[in-house]
Amino acid sequence: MNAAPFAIQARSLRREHGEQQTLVRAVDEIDLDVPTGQTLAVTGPSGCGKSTLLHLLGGLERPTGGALWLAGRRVDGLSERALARLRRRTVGFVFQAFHLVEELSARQNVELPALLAGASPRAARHRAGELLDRVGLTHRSRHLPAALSGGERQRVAIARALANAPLVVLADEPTGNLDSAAARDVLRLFEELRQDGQTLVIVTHDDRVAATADRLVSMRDGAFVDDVWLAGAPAGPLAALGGLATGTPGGPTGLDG
Amino acid sequence: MGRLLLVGRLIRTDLRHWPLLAVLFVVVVGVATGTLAVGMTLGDTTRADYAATRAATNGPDLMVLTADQLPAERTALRSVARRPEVTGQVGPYRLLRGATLAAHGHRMTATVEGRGTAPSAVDRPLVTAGRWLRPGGAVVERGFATALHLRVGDRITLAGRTFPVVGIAVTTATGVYPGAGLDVGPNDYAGLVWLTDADLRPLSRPELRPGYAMGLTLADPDVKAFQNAIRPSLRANPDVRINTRGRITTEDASNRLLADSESVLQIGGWLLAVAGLAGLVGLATLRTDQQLRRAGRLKATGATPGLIGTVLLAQYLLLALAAAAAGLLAARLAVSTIGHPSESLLRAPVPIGPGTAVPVCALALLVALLTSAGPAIRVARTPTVTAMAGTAGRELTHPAGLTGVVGALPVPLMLGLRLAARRLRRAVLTAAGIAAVAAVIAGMLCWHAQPAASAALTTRTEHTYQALLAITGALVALAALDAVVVVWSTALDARRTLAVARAFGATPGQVTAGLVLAPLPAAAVGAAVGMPIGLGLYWLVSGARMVATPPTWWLLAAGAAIVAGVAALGAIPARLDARRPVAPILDAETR
Ligand SMILES: Nc1ncnc2c1ncn2[C@@H]1O[C@H](COP(=O)(O)OP(=O)(O)O)[C@@H](O)[C@H]1O
Ligand SMILES: [Mg+2]
Repeated sequence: MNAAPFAIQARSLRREHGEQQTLVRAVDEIDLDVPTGQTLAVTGPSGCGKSTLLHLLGGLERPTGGALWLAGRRVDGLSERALARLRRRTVGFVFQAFHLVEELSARQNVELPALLAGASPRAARHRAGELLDRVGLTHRSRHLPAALSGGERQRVAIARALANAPLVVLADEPTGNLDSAAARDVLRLFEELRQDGQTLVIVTHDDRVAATADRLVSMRDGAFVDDVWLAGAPAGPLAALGGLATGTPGGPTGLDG
Repeated sequence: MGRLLLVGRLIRTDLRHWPLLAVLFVVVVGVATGTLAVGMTLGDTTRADYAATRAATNGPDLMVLTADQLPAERTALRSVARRPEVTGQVGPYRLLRGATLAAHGHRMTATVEGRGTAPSAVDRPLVTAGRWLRPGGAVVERGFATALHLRVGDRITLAGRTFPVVGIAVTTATGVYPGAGLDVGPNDYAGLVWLTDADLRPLSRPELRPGYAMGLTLADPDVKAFQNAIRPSLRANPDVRINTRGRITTEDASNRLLADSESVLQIGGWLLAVAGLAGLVGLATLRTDQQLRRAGRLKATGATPGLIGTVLLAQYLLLALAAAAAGLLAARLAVSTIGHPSESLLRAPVPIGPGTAVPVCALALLVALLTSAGPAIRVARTPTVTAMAGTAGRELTHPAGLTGVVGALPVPLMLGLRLAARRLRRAVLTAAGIAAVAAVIAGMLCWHAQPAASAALTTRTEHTYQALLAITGALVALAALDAVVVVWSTALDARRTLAVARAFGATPGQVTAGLVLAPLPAAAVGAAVGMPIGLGLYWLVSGARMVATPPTWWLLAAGAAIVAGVAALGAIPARLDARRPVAPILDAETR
């Protein structure tokens, strides 16, 4: 998929909300390396900073401090516009509340990222057809989101996230709004993605989701408190520390612009 | 290509989801641009009509008129006609001035010309109904005939004798009716009638100031030079009293019929745009939530702020072009019916040229930009994560200090002032819209304050009055729309604040009163600013003819009526909104 060994690398990543008395450190000096192809699950109590971390990793929010690399490219200082361009190709988001564009049909939603990335209408349409087929919604492609069930909406959202074959898919409680049957469909899709070698970061409360991950990170008050590699543990002495800091000092070599 | 498709797709869904907004935009901006276009075209219509009529009748460059019917005067006319610069002539022929014409029970003043039965080379009146003169018959100038409802076959009594109307014709030897009489000085409402010279002679009496007239065409278009050249020889003989009237003067007299209407409509077009703006901007903000939500979702999938802004701006530009096109089309239709104010001239087609289309499109684009720039920037700038929730950019603070002051006031007043202070731009637009309405209303009052107009101005001012009336009607309708929309958008905008207020015990009545009060300070300021502007514009348009200003109490009463109207209209959406249950609103906001 991608030649870079790490899809995501973060050093001392920090994000604060509010000022002075109301200041909240939603993400507090986090270091993180996500190898390409890994499925990482992030868990933790509500308000511990999981969503904020995910937004930072995907460039939806900019960090207050620290450094972030996507596919070896430093991205924490990029402008809003450059981040948007980066997201098109590199990141696919899946949200708890789906966040489909309500006015566009399922197929048009899936076409969105490809069209934004400058694909021809034909190519975008073709790709959307493939993806809707993959998530089993070909027969729903002309429906507006409002006419779809929660599970169907989330499958459309997953298809949309995959439209540009992104480096990493970031999912924020993707089953949080779904009943268990719909959640199972969505989980099956994530499992397929994992087996295809798609890099995945999933924020979840759901044990079943956590169980399918290669690695499980627990957060509290904006920081990691646990980091368990369930599969493909990193080699070397740092593994003994639970993989908390695998980077060399000064950031990834040769990639720091 | 793909991105273009996407922008097109999003614009289409927007227009489909907010048809009311799109339709209102096109209607409001269409009316404003149409009015402006009509105003800018009117000058051309009379000019074109005049040119067409002049060409069709071989109109004279110069009319030469004698005060009496002395042989010396006739000789003088002949010598003028013999000058080398003269290329064609009609006359000298006899004419009577101030004759009484009775028809259908009306009595009017007419100038009567004694002409030949054969068409003349110069000033060959174009017969539009019936036929040209025959002995015993009269031909009536078309503008005059229309005013008298005369048709071929009707009978008229002229200076005591009865003639059948055998024809109706147009000419450019005189100005358009009224004022068509070939006389010196104001003779409004005098029409023109042609008889054969043989029929005219028995009518001649000293009270009818018999004279000679002659029409000339000249080699040199510089009529003024010719007038100056002949003056010394005409002045040499004290018995000879001769006046000349050049083509320019006649054309100018025709054009002036619509001169004030032109200004009124042009100013009116801009006032309409100003008044429409408050309502359009209010409507545009109604959908900010939805736009924000969508922008957040688009950005999460990789849309740049630029693309988000483009979608919004582009759809308003499209609407603006549609509105400008609608306005120009409406103007074309309107001009063909109201642009030819006088039956005295043939109707020439008037194409609306780039000179009109460019300012009209500019006005439409300006409105589009002012309507969409605020939301476009806000939507494009809101951070993605906040935007996805769809309620960002609303946490507004009031000017420091105000909160403390309003705390001591009665609840509705407090709510009203807080709401008013929240959105400065809305207040400014409301004030501007109300000022536009107040300005035309002040214009109307000015109109009625003038002493009865002198006869010479009546027709011109009648056209102006109709234009003024139309503008006032359109502006009042727009202002009514504004008043409803502004309160409606305030209610939506502030629904959380108001829901909290109600949760803490404010009654629906107090909330309604607060919403109704909110736009009133801006409305009062608008009325106070607009009235003097209206007086100023009236003075500008009417020039020296503004001899009286309306009594102050008229202005005050009108201002109070405007503010009361805003309050009454605002009560409609306010009452509807205040009745909505509180809990779902608070719920929706916390999601
Ligand atoms: N826009 C914001 N403004 C202020 N505080 C925020 C904002 N977004 C998140 N927070 C705060 O940051 C912390 C982490 O939030 P979040 O990342 O949403 O947690 P989680 O997703 O783990 O529930 C919380 O305390 C939350 O209140
Ligand atoms: Mg969260």
